[in-house]
Amino acid sequence: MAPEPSSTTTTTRIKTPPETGPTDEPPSSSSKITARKETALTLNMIPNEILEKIMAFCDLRTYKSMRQVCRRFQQVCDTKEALFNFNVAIHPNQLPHLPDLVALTQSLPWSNLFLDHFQLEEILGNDSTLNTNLEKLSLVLKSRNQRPGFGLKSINCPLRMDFVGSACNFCTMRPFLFNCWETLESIAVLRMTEIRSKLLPAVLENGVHFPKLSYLHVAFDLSIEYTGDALSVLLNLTPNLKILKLLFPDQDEHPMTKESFEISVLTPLLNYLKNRRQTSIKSTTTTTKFPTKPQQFLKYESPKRELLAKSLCINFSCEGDKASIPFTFGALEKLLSYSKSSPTCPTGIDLRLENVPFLALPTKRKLVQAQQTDPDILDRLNYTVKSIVGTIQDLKLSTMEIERDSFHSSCRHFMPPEAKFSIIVYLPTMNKIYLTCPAQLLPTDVQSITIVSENKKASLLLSISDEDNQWGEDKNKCFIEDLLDHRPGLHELKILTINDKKSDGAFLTQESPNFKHIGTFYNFPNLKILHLDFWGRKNEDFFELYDALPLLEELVLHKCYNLSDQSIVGVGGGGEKNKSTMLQLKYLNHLVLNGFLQITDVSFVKVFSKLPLKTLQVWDDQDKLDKLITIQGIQAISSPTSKCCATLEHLKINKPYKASLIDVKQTLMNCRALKNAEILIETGPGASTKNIVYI
Amino acid sequence: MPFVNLESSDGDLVKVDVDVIKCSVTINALIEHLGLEDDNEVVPLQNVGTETLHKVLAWAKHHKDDLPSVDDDEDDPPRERRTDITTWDANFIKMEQIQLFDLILAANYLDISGLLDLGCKIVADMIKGKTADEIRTMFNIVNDLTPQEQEQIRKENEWCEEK
Repeated sequence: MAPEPSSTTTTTRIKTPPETGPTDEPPSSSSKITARKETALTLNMIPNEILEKIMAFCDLRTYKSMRQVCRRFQQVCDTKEALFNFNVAIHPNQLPHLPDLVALTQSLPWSNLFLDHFQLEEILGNDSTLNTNLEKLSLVLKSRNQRPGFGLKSINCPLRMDFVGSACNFCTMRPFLFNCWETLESIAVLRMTEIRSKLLPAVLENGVHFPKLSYLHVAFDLSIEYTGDALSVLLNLTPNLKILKLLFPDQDEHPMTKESFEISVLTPLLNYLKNRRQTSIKSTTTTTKFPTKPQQFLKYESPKRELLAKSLCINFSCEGDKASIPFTFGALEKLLSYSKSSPTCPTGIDLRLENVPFLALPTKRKLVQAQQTDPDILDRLNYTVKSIVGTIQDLKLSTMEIERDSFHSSCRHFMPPEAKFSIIVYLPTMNKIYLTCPAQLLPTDVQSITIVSENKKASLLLSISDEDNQWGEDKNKCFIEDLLDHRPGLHELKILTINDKKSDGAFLTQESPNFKHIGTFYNFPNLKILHLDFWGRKNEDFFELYDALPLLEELVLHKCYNLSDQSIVGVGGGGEKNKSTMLQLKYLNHLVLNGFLQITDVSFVKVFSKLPLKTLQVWDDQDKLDKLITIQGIQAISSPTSKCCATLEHLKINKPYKASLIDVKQTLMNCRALKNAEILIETGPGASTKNIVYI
Repeated sequence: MPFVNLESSDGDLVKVDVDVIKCSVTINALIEHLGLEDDNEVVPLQNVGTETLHKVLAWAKHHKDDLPSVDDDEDDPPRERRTDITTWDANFIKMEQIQLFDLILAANYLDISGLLDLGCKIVADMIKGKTADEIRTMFNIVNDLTPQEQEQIRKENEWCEEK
């Protein structure tokens, strides 16, 4: 039999090749160097595209030097491509004075310039105009600026402003809002009271609006009932919004009435949607006189813009319990009537609602009442819910919402019979499905749940607690069987028990007959993300997982108390020679094992070090000596020959037995990609709390 | 077709496992374009010398089992630029400047992004912290800027001088 060829062989055809057959050992610095002709390559002969790439890895100082080397280098440095990823974060020691910055930005096509507000204040402290070629200027303002605003007159590049939290007040924002309004693209977190008391009067005085603003994040404060006019004005100043985030105060502490919600939130929104729709329909430019009184804004129509945003996403968020926002079904209906998915509004905008509080759906009792006066309500409800699910990207049904007897009962009432308990059916745009149900609150006649999502990226978080075991084993079994049978293309499966204190994870524990069905991972050949709690009765369960899910990239096993070295390296401890080991998961890059029977250096040496892991978390709250790893385990994953060493970015482990933190730190120095290492240290004998040491 | 014959610009034939060289977009495209079905077919690489080709293959062989690069989701925020170099790569790339530039050019021609990034990072490291004069000396570059141009650039650069 002919010998099998190695991966590379050289055949001389014209002249004798150098005998430098490649091996897996890197060539040393003393490797043979062929004599070169005088026309040898220098950096000057490297094509521009490669020089640009080299520049992307340079720091600012080197960049500056390269510009001075020769004419070609200067030209390359000044190209947009070279600077595409070269976001200049100016060091405090390198603060330019305004004239220098002006000169620089006029001469260089910077793609991005990030400044924090102290730097900007220093730079722009004088009364000046910044004419710049910047494609985008990002201002990240993280702290309150008590000093007077900047005297900046205008900036002729798109401007993004990120005001983080409530640290920034109107004084900080004022100079930007008024001097850069034509180019402002984004504002984060504006407080409504300040908008009303400070921004609006000034706007009315100066006739300012924000034609390019696409992202607006406003926070209602306690006096929400008085700020409806402010929101109206603000929205009408911003005809091109793509994302509108509304942040409500904690409703438990500051409850909002249905009326104040309608006046302060819903009416301004509806007016704005109506305005946007009309603007997009009209073919001729509308020139309405800019209003000068607050009430005129309600009728004001922004001028048509050539590039009016086609879509709008409205996000409802809350500092506390979102479910308490008095968001009614009627409000939902009205909002969705401006969506292009509405049959009555084909010319509507591409409207997306996020984080809608689902108390808006009426209960079955209310539906019966409503039907007596409005026979068509069921049809409208059906349409509305389909519209909702068609426009919502991230639907979260929390325990709170279901406990309030609103969602599932009403859905079951109007959903077609074949849908069964199909509260999350027909969700083509949904990215995440959270189903968190106390089992006893689910209707007792549920036989199956069918989940259909056309979005291949959809992830499913299924969380069932069966506190009083009222739902019963049979239904649990149906639930899981059906899930497994209908989701062959599932990419992400997270099966978590949320109340393991009461039920001790009864739904998924090894005593449950359902356990067997969850183990049939062969039904999920495309699964990439898997989270399991209280799972795994014996080693074979884990082996089946490795065999069945070759594409798995993320594995999180929480409190799987039968997991041991043998479950990971295979029975017999033979490592790679065993057919079933975790090494079969060759795409695995995120591994979290929290709570297990016994994991020692063996797993680190034989498996973890040989996987291309970016995240490795192996830790236990209840350390026992036989569970602990030693410094050898850390050395295994930190060895330069380890595959894990080259990729590991996040590590979380219990402190290795009898090893000092200094030793651990030194060992981990080899892991060049490591960004964050958490070493858990027990605070005292028998203590369950830990100190975390970040390295 | 587990193997493919690559012909270097020196005329040498190098037989290589297709799995090893799959990281090269250019070779993959050539194989597809030429419709090679036979182990004896040859893929000509006009721009890569034998010595450089061997180095490329050594790198490709070591990184054969690396995860394929995933296309960035458009919605994702831009990722941090990775500047880390593994120990193996650091040892691999220790070579004469001329060889290094040959390797970079070959990686560029063969469209092997990992190797090209590695080469560019190394060159960036070489010039990091150097003055313009030092860079000219290091790479034997002639300064063709006029005194006026130099003065202009110096002025433009003043703002980022450390104070």
